[in-house]
Amino acid sequence: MHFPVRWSPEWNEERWMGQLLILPMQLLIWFVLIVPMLIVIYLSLVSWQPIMGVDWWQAPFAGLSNYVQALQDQRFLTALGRTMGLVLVAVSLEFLLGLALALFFHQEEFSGKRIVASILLYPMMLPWVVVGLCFYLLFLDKGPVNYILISLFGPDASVQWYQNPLLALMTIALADIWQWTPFMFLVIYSGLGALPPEPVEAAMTLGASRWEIFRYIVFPMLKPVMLIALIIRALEAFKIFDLVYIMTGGGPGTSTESLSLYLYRTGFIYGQLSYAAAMALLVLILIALVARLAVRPLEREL
Amino acid sequence: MANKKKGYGKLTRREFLKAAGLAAAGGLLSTCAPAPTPTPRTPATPAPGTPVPRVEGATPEERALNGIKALKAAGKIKNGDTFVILHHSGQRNNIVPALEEWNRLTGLNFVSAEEGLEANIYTKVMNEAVTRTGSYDIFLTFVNWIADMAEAGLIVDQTEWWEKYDPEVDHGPNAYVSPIDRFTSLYKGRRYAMGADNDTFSMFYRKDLMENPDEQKRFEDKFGRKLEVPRTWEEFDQWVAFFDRPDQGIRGVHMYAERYFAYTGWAARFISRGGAYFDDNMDPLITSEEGVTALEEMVRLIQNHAWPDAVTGDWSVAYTRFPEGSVFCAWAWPSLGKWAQDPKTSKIVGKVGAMEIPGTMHDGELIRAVPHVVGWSFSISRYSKSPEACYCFIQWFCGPKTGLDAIARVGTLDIFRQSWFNEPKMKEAYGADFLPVLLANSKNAFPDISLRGANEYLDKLNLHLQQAFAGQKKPEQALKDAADEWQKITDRLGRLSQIEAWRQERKNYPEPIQRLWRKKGLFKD
Amino acid sequence: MPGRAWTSGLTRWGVVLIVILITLAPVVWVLSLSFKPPQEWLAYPPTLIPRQPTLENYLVLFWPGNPVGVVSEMVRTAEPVTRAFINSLIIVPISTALSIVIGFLAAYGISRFGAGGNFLPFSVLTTRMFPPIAFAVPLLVYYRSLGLIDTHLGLILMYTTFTLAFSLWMIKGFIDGIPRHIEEAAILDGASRWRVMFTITLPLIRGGLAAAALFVFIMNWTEFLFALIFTSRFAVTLPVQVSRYAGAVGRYYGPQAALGIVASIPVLIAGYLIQRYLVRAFTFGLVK
Repeated sequence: MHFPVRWSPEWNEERWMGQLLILPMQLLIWFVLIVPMLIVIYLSLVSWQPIMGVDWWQAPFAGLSNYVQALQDQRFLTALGRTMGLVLVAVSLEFLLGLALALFFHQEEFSGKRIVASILLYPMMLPWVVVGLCFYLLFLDKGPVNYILISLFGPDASVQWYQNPLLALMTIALADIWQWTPFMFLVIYSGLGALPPEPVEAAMTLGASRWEIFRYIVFPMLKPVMLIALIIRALEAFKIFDLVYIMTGGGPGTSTESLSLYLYRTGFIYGQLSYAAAMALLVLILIALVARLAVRPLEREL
Repeated sequence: MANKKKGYGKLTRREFLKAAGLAAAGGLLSTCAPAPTPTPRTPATPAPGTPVPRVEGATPEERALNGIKALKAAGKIKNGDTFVILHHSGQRNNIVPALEEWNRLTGLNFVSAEEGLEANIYTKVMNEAVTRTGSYDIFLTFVNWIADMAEAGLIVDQTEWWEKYDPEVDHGPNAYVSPIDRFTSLYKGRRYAMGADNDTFSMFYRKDLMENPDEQKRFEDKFGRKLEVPRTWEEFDQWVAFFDRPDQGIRGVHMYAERYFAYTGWAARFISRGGAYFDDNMDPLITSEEGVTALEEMVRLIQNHAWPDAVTGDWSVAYTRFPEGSVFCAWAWPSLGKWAQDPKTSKIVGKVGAMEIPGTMHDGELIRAVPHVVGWSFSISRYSKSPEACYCFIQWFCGPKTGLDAIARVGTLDIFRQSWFNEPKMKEAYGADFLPVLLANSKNAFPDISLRGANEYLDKLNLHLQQAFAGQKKPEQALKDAADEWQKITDRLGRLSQIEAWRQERKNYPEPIQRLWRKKGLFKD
Repeated sequence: MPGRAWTSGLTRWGVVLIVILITLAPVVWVLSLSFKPPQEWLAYPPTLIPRQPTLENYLVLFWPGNPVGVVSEMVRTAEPVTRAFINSLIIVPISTALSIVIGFLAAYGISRFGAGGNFLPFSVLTTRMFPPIAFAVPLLVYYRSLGLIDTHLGLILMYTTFTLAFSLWMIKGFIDGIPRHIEEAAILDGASRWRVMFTITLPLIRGGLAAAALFVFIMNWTEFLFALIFTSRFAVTLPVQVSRYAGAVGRYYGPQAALGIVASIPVLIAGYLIQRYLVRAFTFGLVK
């Protein structure tokens, strides 16, 4: 990128304009998010529940005890690990499927391509609650999936999807993959469409194979796009709540409880708002650290 | 990328902006903490001996309407004032027609605000306790949330108004079924709510199989006694095992073992054995021999004689399995009977029998303990523009005549006044055979844990119980884990306050169970 | 990518067909559910075509007062979904537009002028890293003092702010992909920086803006948790309305499915309109 000389008139003008451009965003974020964030931090440092009968600003100081408790909380730690595993599996599959689809669509020509692409986007457009409901019904003991299995493989093929924690997690992952692969597909497809054709043509005239073209030319140019899509999707997937809530309620026991679901239970069912605040802040710190590491290569690319 | 080094002038300006921003944020933050309300936290008790003026009127409904008139005359409310009732979608049909009539009679504007998920009602209620917006005047909530709402300072103590207006709840020819009147309204000895529902669990079974002479003969041959509705849990387990026929597509029983109601089957056995949730020091008693045996029996029952979705499904599974004929016996809320007799939804119409919940024998006396699960009651927001007007509404709604119409309509609210059990409207709605059984069960009903933190106590109990049902833990371990969690909750919320609350709560249990406790020496009084 | 196609005609259509099938199977199930009467909602064996198809689930959404059949009886005296529909149609497009506009301005400032240094883009991303649950009650308290609970403005402000990180990062990516020399040329010709931003850069990233707008629209349209907590009577949105179809026994799967289908129609329309911009119009674009 090109920069004017420092302290030159045009440099000042650019800087001034830059500040102005980011002003609305900063105003909005400060106005809407900062104050509640301060309250969250405050809550995490006191010990407060509405049913204790005192107002929240009169709550007794608790220092870091909420944080210490969270770090020793088995249920919190397992939920964290479980959610990370779920995100890893689901987002990777979404990415691979989305990439494959994008490449396929980019490469192939067939009539009605636009309509098919629109159909592909539909899963994202249904409200979460309906998707959760739909998949819950699909995998019921006496639901369509088992019905198909029984028709194909006999009566013993029926699986109790929600009895086994691993299978239950799989159905949740499946619902998530179904819903969000279109996102990956769209972003990567847009990225592919934006690639300049010259490098690829040049490589082809030089006799490179399709795989080599993909690996050494297309893939590196796509990296920023893919990274953005992955980061954004992973951040959202980490907060998975609706699907788990509707499909298994976190059960049996807590074996499919996602992090957000545990936070929801702690904050809204048990009413322990202080403890939930502390756990959430821990999560924020953790994710920020991980994301920082992931974003660094991206910054270099740009 | 951007220049990393910053000029001196730029730094101070950035610092200044940040400081200004934080100052503004701090200013906004301080507005979030409104001045503490002048209303005292502890409920005001009237000076002893103060005569409470009684309101004129022959029926509770009349007295309520007269109360509204008096309030209007005193200028406290006027025509067109809006009052909002927060309730669950399931009661829409019970409440909304009544609202129309009430508005017509009083000239006020009572409206309904509904929520689709029960847990969201709790969230809204607790948020209201924190934010005090006054956007709701009346809450129709689970009975065992009353403690939380009272302790959070959200709802008003209605005891005075009960005396002033006399809703005829615990006395008179129209009284509620006892002990339901007690535990749907009392917390720490004061009336914080008025019950509007009866969620005593009811058990249904396949009458046609019971009346089949071949079955009767086979049963007699096997067990040496007649095929009858079981009276004790032991007999029940044998009876269910007998009718468990997986190869014919019918399992013995459906009792809840899932995430939110796993405790029901266990608690029924545990309490009927003479168990209690806590002792007088709020130490859990669930790990006692009664508790462990009860859980072991239930786990065996569910694992051997029920479909797997008793553990993994949700509460509506009972409402599909039993009417479709895939279980021999099921229990749930009273509405299950209606569902099973409705030709539109049931394949077993005319084959349904209702029974009293079994119990345990103690020295020749049969003690039954029937779980009363969730259930709805009305409470009044402290931040309402006129709590007394709200009280008049709920007394009117639950009155002997208005309530009868409201409950007879299809909805989640069920029959709670004793006199209604003889009404033709109710017989039509529930089935004439079922009503006497429901009445008998209601008299033996015991409440969910209704202390402060009830949701947490119950949720943590269910968590471990469900793990036991799913085979992830041994029953003894599950109960022990639950008891440990309970202790932590009690300590966090304040043991002394909980002790007092529990002492009052156990007095709401049915008399026979309290007698059994006394016999076993569990409590001092 | 130019070059030989990967597959022959038949396998290509086979792949397309499989993809369509998998994508649409659950949708078809929801669709079929929306035409089923209550006794078929959980019936076994499950059927794709309802044995007794009915329009009731749809009718009951908009005209609940007319008892027509079983479903109407169940959801009797329910409120029509029209209000929720209108609320969503007001709140979501406005907050989406605001988010994209503010995001575009900020993205340009960051990309071209390095505003906010290295830290700002990342710090904006952290707004998406915080579990929203823990944020709800503090935000509720704050909104209470501002009087914004259960208001359209309150939700609009919230949705705009929540999606800003999203808009910013996506649009910034697209802007970064436009080579600077195009803008420089215009500046040398005497155009002001503002004009360059709006008349040169903006049209070039039309496609990227459209993609970002679609995603933000979908996110806002389907947002459930905060709508649930912050609305009660006046500003109820569609996802919250779906959850209200519960009753005496369990959830009313039929009307919920019907409402789900109906609720996705505006999004479909938005998606289709945006389609034109999405894939073509990329002369320059995402990556240099």
